[in-house]
Amino acid sequence: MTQRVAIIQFPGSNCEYETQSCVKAAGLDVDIISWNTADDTLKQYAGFILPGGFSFQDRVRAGVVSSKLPVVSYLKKVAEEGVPILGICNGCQILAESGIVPNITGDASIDVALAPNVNDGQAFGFVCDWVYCRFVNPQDNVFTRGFSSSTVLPIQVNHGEGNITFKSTDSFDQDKASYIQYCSQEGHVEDTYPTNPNGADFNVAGLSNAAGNVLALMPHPERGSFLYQIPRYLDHEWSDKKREGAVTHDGPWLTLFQSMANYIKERQ
Amino acid sequence: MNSLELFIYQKNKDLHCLSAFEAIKQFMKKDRCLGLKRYVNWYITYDDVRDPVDFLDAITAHSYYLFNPNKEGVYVNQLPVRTTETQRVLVNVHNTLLPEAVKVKESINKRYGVTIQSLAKRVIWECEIDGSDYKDAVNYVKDHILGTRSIENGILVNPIYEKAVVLDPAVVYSSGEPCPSVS
Repeated sequence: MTQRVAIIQFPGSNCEYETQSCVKAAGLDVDIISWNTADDTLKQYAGFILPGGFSFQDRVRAGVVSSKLPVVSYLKKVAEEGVPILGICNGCQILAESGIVPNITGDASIDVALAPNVNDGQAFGFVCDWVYCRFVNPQDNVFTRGFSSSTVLPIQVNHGEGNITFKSTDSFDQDKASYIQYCSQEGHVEDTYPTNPNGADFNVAGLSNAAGNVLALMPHPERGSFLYQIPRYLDHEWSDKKREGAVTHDGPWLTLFQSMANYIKERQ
Repeated sequence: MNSLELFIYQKNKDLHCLSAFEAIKQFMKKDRCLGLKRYVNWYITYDDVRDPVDFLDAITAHSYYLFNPNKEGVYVNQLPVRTTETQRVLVNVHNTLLPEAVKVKESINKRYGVTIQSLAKRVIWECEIDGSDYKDAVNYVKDHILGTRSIENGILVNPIYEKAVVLDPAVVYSSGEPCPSVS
């Protein structure tokens, strides 16, 4: 098997090139491929990334039209075989609408939705800001296992429908599930804006499937994978590094793509 | 208190509809679905003594809060009657997290000095289904087209935060009389 990863470009994707830079920096070969690529071509890839953007202009609901495409049926099949799949922002919405995440019961039923952003019960539209995230059971997902549960990292959110809402909150085991959670810069989980920027249940920003090889993440790790992408003004050690003129090129979220690369190498 | 219901439609191509129909026919393979139309539905309750159409003119003449007359048309209270051999199933979809369009209501009230008591925005899908039995068509829409349950079934409603109600066609469609419309 190759170490080649495919970034699937839907009509309206707009984060594929930044994502490609991250995958390359993690040491993997990467192609940007079209949403209508045939299964025979898809078979050559060891992993897949669904990038951010507005596929099909978010018509009907964000991600739902893309979730019906044959390529997503292919992803559903290979997800069951352990192939790593990362959905960022619009990719997260597509994975949720297709049932690939969280797939708690194994039947790819729709257990989570990306509802419109709300604050105090009122929709407020689009949010574009830097927020902080922490990791819960990071060891159980192939993309987050390079992080520690004590780590708090800055990350950019950029969405109008990122409010992760569970079909039944009882089905979500906060202690056992592997997920990424919005928190304060000190790591405290506060269910209020702006710490929770969209009203998501349990402050969930990203969610693993039950098997741990798929991650659906609303914030943008590809916008925090190089130090030059981190703003100087944040009160965080990564901004300190930038202000101090650190020579490192890597940013905090490159670890996510490196974890993907390590997993792909292990599978070979 | 008075009430007014608007059915807003795209005068040209409705891209939401095009993509939804493409997904239903080409990717979900629901061949009995022959057509799809979408209306944005505003349900307004208000205090005003004017004729409903005059009231509507007053709040829409100089703003695009409710619709853009350059590219959208509107039917008031009812849709024009349809006479086809196929079945037409009307479904009202609303977001349970956002029961009322509070900000739009406040903006209209402030700008025009009117008293809109409540303003709710919903989407109405008109699904044209092959067949001669209306109940069978309703069941087909419910089972295959409405609530997303899997990649293969359901697209128009996300049942986690949206609710759908099948509307009575006898109430929604006019009985042959022309519907008041504003363009």
